[in-house]
Amino acid sequence: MVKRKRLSSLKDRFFSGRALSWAVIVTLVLVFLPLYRLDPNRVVLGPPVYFAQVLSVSPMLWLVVLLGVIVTFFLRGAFQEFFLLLVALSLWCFPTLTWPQAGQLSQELRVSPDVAFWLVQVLAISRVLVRKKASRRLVVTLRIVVLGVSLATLLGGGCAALSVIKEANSAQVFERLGQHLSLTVGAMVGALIVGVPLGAAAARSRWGKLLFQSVSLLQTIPSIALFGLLMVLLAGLTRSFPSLQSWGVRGIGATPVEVALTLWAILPLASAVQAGLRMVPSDVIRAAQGLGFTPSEVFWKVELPLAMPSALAGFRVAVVQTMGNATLAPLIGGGGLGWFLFQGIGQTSPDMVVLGVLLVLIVTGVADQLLKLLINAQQRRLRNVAFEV
Amino acid sequence: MRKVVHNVPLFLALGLTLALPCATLTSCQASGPNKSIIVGSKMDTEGGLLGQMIRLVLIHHGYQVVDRIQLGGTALVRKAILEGQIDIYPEYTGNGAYFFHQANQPVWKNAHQAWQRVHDLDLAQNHLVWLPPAPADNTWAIAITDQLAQTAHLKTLSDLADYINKGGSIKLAGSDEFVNSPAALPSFEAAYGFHLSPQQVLTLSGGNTATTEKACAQGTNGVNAAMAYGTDGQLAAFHLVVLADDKNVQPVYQPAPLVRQAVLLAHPDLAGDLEPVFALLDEKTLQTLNAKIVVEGQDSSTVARQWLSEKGFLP
Repeated sequence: MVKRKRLSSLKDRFFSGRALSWAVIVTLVLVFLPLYRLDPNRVVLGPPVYFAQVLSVSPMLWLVVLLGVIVTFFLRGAFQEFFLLLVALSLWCFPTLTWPQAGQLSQELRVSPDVAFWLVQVLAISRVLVRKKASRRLVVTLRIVVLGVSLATLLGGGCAALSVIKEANSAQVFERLGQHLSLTVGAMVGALIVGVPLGAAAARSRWGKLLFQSVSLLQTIPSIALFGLLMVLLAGLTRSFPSLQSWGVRGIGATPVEVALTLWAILPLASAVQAGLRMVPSDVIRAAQGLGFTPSEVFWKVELPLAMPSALAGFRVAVVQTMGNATLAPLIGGGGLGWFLFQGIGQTSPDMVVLGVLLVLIVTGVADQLLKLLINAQQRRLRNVAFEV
Repeated sequence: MRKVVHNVPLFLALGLTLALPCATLTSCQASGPNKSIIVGSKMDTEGGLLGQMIRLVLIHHGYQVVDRIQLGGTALVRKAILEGQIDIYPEYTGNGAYFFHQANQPVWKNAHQAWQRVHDLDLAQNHLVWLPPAPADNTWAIAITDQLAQTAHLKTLSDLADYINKGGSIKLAGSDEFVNSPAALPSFEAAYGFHLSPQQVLTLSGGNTATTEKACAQGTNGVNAAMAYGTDGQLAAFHLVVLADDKNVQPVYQPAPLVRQAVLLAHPDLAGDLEPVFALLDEKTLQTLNAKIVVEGQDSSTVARQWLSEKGFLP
């Protein structure tokens, strides 16, 4: 009896069904699906490369990956997650050692990621996401280690041979990233200035509601039509007031994009503010009035703080939406990360498109998580204040 | 009273939106309009290349240049120069047929007459000047695989018509516009006397030449012919050849710098600075330079700078 119990705990420890399935899936993917493609140049597709083939090209190196996968069979929890992430990461940087010539910019040869590559990435990330609570110190430490190692290899040129990274001329990436962020920030400032008062107005007056509805109509104008319209409007404006030009106001470039993004961001923001204010219980307002609060005090000290969670959630949605919409900026010369998408489509370079998509995903994801942290912190503070009162 | 206070946010919004532009107006009345030349271009590869060439040559000759290259699609760039938002950009002579709604006139099929016509019309109606064009024709064409060209001895569209009429197997990939617009495939069919059944055409709606050529090179769905542009850079990499339009069915699309008259009057040397550069840009040159961008993944400004210094336009 005792012996069986120990056995089962051993089995539990080493071959837990759920942990095992991750390892099995990763192994199957690596063995049966093509890992890379060796393209002769940027537009022509080359032959697929399987894991068995890379193993024969440089056995010592890829045995490490194989070992990493085997190790995941015997691990569970935080360490399995850690090893899966390491295997996924090694797929990014090992081509640089296997085909060093592909890393040189003058070389036309390209190592493109294929199905197995992306599936392993997806599996590793899913493994991270299925964990419900990431509060354990071990988990957090291991994740920080992986993040640090990935950033170091990326910046140190460790992934240079991979076609997607080869598309990323670093000066270009930072320039476009800067443009993307500045477009988003500019649009969000505009949306806050107009959207918050508009949402507040819509919650209480009929005129505000009417204005709100007309703004939501703006949402239906197709982007290219809106850009064309804005260019003519802004060009006319700068012709009548030439001094606007020295402020950077132009019919093409960042200005029309920021205006369009602002118009698109107003709706989610204003409707969240409106919903937040509507949800404030009328008892609370009456109680505040009974305490002798002036109408403006009722708004600033009672209604606004209570509407804050809804408003902040709307702000988060608006930011994420704006970052996505900002990819349309190249249509009117506004730059941003969308530039990689449009150029990639025009040049039949899927790698360039993938690079653009990855960058947009990463930037949006980071912004979303940061806002989530901020909102949580704000709400915690609000709750603490409430307790103190 | 209560009503007014509750409308405070609304007034705030209106006030701020009105106040911002006013503040900017009063604070910088002193500085005048910009004197530099704004170079624009379309978003495609060749647009970027030619735009960079104009920009680099102008900078070399001492002009102040603002870079608005790869601004947007044809309609938007055209609107931008009409609104004075850009000063100069490379445009194709054949597009005059669409700008001035004269698509069915034969004048667009002759290189010099097409340039003359669009030059005269734009100068008179829009105060835009067409500078001398490059001797390259970036028109719609049909490209086939190297292999098919050799085995069936196809060099021209007349050859292709014979081949199709004798029952040769063909499947053509084209965009929606190429397949349906009367100026494209239907005009080829009428002039050369062949007909492609719906089974012989693969329509990639919204497709550009890059996607159709890729489909052809990879033989997707049995495709062995593709819509192409004469100066596409990826043709050689895909092992495709363009069939000659031996009956001159298509309008001629020669790239030329299009500049606002006011800017040209202020800088009269500009035309002479650009003319020798464009004179050297023939079809082969543009194909090679476009290929460096598309196939090798080089930056358009690097490719332009390299070629300009090779030809002695830049030090």
